[in-house]
Amino acid sequence: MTRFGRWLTTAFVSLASVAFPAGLGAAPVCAAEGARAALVVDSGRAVQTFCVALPDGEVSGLELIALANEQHGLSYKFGFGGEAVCMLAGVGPTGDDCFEQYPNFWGYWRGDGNGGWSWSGSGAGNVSVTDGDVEGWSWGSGSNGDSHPRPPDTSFGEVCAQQEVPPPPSPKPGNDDGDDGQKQRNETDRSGARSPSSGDTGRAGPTSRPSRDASPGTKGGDKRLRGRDRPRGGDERRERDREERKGNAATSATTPTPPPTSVLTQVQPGALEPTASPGPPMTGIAALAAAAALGATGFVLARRRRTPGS
Amino acid sequence: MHPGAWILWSLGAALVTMSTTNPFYLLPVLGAAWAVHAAHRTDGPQARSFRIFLTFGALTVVTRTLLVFLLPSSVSAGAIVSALLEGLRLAVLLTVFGTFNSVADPFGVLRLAPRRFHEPALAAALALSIAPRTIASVARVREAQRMRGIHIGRLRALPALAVPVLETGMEEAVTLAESMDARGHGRGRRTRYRPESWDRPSVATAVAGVAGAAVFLVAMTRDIGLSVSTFPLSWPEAMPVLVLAACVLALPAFLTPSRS
Repeated sequence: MTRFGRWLTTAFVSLASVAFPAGLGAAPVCAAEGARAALVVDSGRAVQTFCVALPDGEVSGLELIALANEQHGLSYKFGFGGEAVCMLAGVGPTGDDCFEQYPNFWGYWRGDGNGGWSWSGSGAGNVSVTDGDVEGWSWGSGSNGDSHPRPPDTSFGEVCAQQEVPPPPSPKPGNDDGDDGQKQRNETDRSGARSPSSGDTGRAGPTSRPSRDASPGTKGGDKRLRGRDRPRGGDERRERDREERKGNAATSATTPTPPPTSVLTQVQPGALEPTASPGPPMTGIAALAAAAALGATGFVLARRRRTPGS
Repeated sequence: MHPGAWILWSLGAALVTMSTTNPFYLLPVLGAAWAVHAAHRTDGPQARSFRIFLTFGALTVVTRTLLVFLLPSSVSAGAIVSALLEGLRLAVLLTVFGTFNSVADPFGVLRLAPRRFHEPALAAALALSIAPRTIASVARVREAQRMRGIHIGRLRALPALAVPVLETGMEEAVTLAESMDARGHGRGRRTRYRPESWDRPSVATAVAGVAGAAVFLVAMTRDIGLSVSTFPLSWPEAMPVLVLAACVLALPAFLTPSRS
């Protein structure tokens, strides 16, 4: 009974977190041009940061992930009807059930503006991300902000350089080629999250560059992969991590992640261009007409029954 | 109509309702439930219970929407619409349940239960019929009060109403259980007085429910727009197949039950 109760509570809480709307900071959409948001993905094995350009100035937390896929090749999978995050950077279930590997799941964090994190009580589909926001996802167990592992503290400036505004639509081909290639290879080796082919999108190079050039404290030219020395778990966890990493390296060598185009099918059409909502579809109008017709039938039937009956 | 047919139909309709927040699918289900209720409702207190469920459904929509304004986060159009649709889904679910309550005789359903599960089934049947029975006893108690010349204000009438209603409910349940026991229910000797048969309308009703649910189950696994995107706010898609599947649930309304 108690187990059932706990299960029920969990189900309710997770449903509520998906369903409850937030619309945090319905701030006026300012200049869409040059708007960027930082995305931090902490898989427990590696931390990746992405500076994501927002072509529309404002997107939802889920669309930010889709944009990160477009611009940087972050692999992802949404589940529960496209409303929850199942898999990021190759970590997590790839089916529709995002709790398949429970108690581990992708926790959703929002930057508090000072480099820290606060646990998001709202589903990522209902949250608005605007210029300068920091969004974090961390893989682990724990159902709230006290018990779930936090991503490492990250400020917007660390991920997106202030002075360098990446031009989102037009890629700069062939700029600083060797260095970019080096970086991408590093990432593939260590996290297995990124297929080499994702560089073909063309946008990955220029838009991801600021993340590396940004912070002055970067050593070794690769600050997108941190987290080895974070005080997160004990020795046990580290041990486990190492084993998992080994396994992951093996699998990533044999099975490359699919190209971004295939994962992008999860995004509903029109979700990325909010201005293009012309009106209800014809079938929708037909559906409403059918509903009205059924209602009218009900009235007629009810009256016909009443007349001879009494 | 066979009670099993109603079970399958309402389970199917409930599954369709649970699987989507898209109003283009939910509203046809609502219309279907209303039409089926109008065509098949049994006489008696059950018919009135449907109205209660409908009222509760409307209250759900309102409450769910008001919750948005009470929560600390700021209000946006997407939040309101998503809350409205959540509320609508619950309201449709309640309506489907109300329809089941008004068209199927809960004790007819009880007779279908295998002998081994008779006692839990009896409890379930009592639970299912609690709304109609409560409404009936409320009506009776109020009538009795009126006959005795008792006119109390609405709010203050509540305690005077609640005690006799609860008492009658308890008594009724005990009486029912005793009488069923006396008739040999759950003892292996069961009378088969006028057994319900799976006639053609019953089969069609069951098929309508199962078919509707099956189509939506397939849609669920295929991950097609069953949930509405409310951020950014845009018109949801309406797939003809799914709209049709939702409308198929109204099929029993057009079947004439073989009156027995």
